[in-house]
Formats: sequence, structure tokens, C-alpha cells
Amino acid sequence: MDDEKIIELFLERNEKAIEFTARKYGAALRKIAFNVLNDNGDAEECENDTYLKAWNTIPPNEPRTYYFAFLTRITRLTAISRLRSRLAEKRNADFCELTAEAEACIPSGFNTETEAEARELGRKINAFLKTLPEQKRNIFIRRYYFFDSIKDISRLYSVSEGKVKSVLFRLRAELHRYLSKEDFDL
Amino acid sequence: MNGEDILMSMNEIDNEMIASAAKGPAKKGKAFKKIIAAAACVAVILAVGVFAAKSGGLFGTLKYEIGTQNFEFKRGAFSASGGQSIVLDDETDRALTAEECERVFGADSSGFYAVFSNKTGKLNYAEGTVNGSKVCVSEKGKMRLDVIVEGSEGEQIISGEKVAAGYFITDANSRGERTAIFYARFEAGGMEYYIEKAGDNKNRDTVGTELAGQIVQIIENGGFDTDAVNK
Repeated sequence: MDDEKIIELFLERNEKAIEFTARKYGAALRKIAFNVLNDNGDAEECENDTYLKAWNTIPPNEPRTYYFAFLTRITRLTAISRLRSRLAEKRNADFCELTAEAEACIPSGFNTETEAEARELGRKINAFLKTLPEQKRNIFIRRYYFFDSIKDISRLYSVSEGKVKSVLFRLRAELHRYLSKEDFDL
Repeated sequence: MNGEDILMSMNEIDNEMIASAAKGPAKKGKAFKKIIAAAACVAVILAVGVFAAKSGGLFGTLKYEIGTQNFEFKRGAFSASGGQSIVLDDETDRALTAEECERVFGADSSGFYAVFSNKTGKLNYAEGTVNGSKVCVSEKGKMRLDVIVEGSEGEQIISGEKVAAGYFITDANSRGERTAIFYARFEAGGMEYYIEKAGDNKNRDTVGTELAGQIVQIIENGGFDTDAVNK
């Protein structure tokens, strides 16, 4: 079922909207959550929380042309919030490595204490991504938006893990340089 | 601010970019950009039906279609003029470890020797093997080769970069075998490259196609990540 029709079901308050969403996007949303939480049970709960939040926010939102992006944003935030409530020793080692990589991208002195500052950083990253060739941009997004492992990315793009690591290493350095040049004062 | 906050801020990226990354790579019909391994290079090109070789026999230009681009190797001549592997006073040289080779040049790389600047620690020059091809990469103006190419290298534009590429065929050995040697010079990602691949002259189109595909890949990827290793 295409996304426009699913959104119509939401607007009609027809619960089949959730059923069709789960069929179409459930596996992808669970994977994002699992990449963060490394637990199938937690990942499923996160998926269900996503459907509940979608139900509560459509309407007024009507993400007819960007429904998957809308859902993945909810899943990412839900999964990371759930992770933060965990004790340190129960953290996913792979995700810890991923967050360390992300920290390396940002020059010192940047702040995201307020929501506005966090959004501004996101917009800068978005502008940076637009400067990249498609495959490199996609590899960056697969790693830092979808939280894919290096192995998953190398399989997806049929390149070696070393190549993926090399591309990401260079992109992180480029992003660091890009943000250092940009004026980040709000 | 920590890494999780940064990852959360990725929620601001455009919907179209999310959708594009979610879709995955292009289908096999445009798969030439994925070519790395020699066997995969030939198989994919044949599968999409873009392999075409026009040869002038022992004389003339060899032309190969790589995706939508026409790659040419002009017939040239070759002579080995002794070593030019020079390490200057303000440089340090060493062999790269296997892990460093893989990090910079990919899983199918080996035997890399590198020269680093003492002042910056950065790579000035490296040479080794990637997918069976000899690869030399250097900072601009710091290329050092152990062979001198004399002959015709027709210049062309491939993926936005100037590429000078040629080939020659050796005399027959005692078994009557001849070797075809393809070579090219180009720039990518701000570095200079010299790359060379040799094979039996009977299979020269395969060798030429593989090397051309490899060159396109290097250029389109912006070169190897030489910043990933230092002194």
C-alpha cells in the first residue's frame, strides 16, 4: 500500500494504518532500534512505541511524501532515549563505538545544550552532506542515521570493510573541517 | 554535548537523502562504480553489455567502454631507467603494515612502501599493489617512479579528471609469449597517481578493461585515503 493511502487511514483514525505500516516498514524500523539497543525485545518495544507516536501525531502531521523518514526519526529518538536509561554496562559496544566516531566529527567549542543548537548542528551536517557524491553520502547516512555496522554497509555496497572504514574516516575529517570553517554562532 | 546528541541531530537531514540511502545502491545495470576485484570487474561489465574493445592490432589505440565513458590507451613505448626511489633528508620511509594497507588502499592491497614528511607526518609517496595493479600515489610534485615511460600517452578526461594512458606490448620471450602492459597517470583527491597492470597479450582486453575500471573507481572515490596513515 502506498504511503499516501496509509496516511489517509491515519486521518480516518482507522487502525489498519498501523497494520499496513508494520508490514511495509516494521523490519526496517526494528533494525534501526536493534542497531542501537542490541536486544530483540527492546527493539520490538521501540517499534511499537514508534507506531503509537505516529498515531498520536498524525494528524496534525501529514507526512504523505516522507513517511519513512518521519517514522525513522521517531524510532531513532525512541531507541536512543531508551538506551540512555540503561546502565552503562548494558550499553551496546558497537553503538558506543559509533557515538565515539560521531564525537570526532565535531570541533571542540560546539554546543547542543538547547534544542535550537542541536537543530542548527543538524542543518549544518545536512548542508555538508549535500556537497558529497551520492555513494559517500549514502554510506555516511547508513552509518550515522541508520546505525548500520561496517559489515552491513560493506555487504550492501559490495565493498571491503576496509574501504568503508576508510571512506568514513575521511568523511568524519571533512565534516570536522567543514564545521570548523562554518560560523556556528546562533 | 556527546556523541548521542550528535547522532540525534542527524534527524535534521533531508527526507530525500534518507530515502535515497534507505534504497541502497543502484542496480547492476549501473554497477561499474562497484568494480574493485578483477573478476567482478569483468563479470559486471559483461553482464551489462558495455564491454567493447576496438583494437588496431599491434598498432593503434585500445578503447574500452566503462559505464558511459570511453577510456583510451594509446600505443606507447616503455623503458626502465633505473631506480628513482629517493628519500629526502626531511623524510622517513617504511613499509606499511597489512592493517594500514587495508585501511588506506582496501582489502586487496599489499606490499606498500611509504615515504612520510618528517615535518607533517603525512604521506608524501607510496607504492604497492592493489587488485594486481602496481599503484604509486604521491603529493603533487613528489612522484618518484622506478621506471620511465617514453612514448605516447593520450590525454583524456575521465570523470572530470585528466588521465594520460598508454600501453605497449613486449617482444616475444623464448616461449613466444608477449606481455601487454597498460599504464596511466592522473590526479584524484589532490594526489598524483601512476598505475600499471600487465598480463598476457592474448588477454590484453581483459587487462585493459580491468585497469580502466580501477582508474575510474579511484577517481570517482576521490582517491585513496592517504590521510588515514602517518609517519
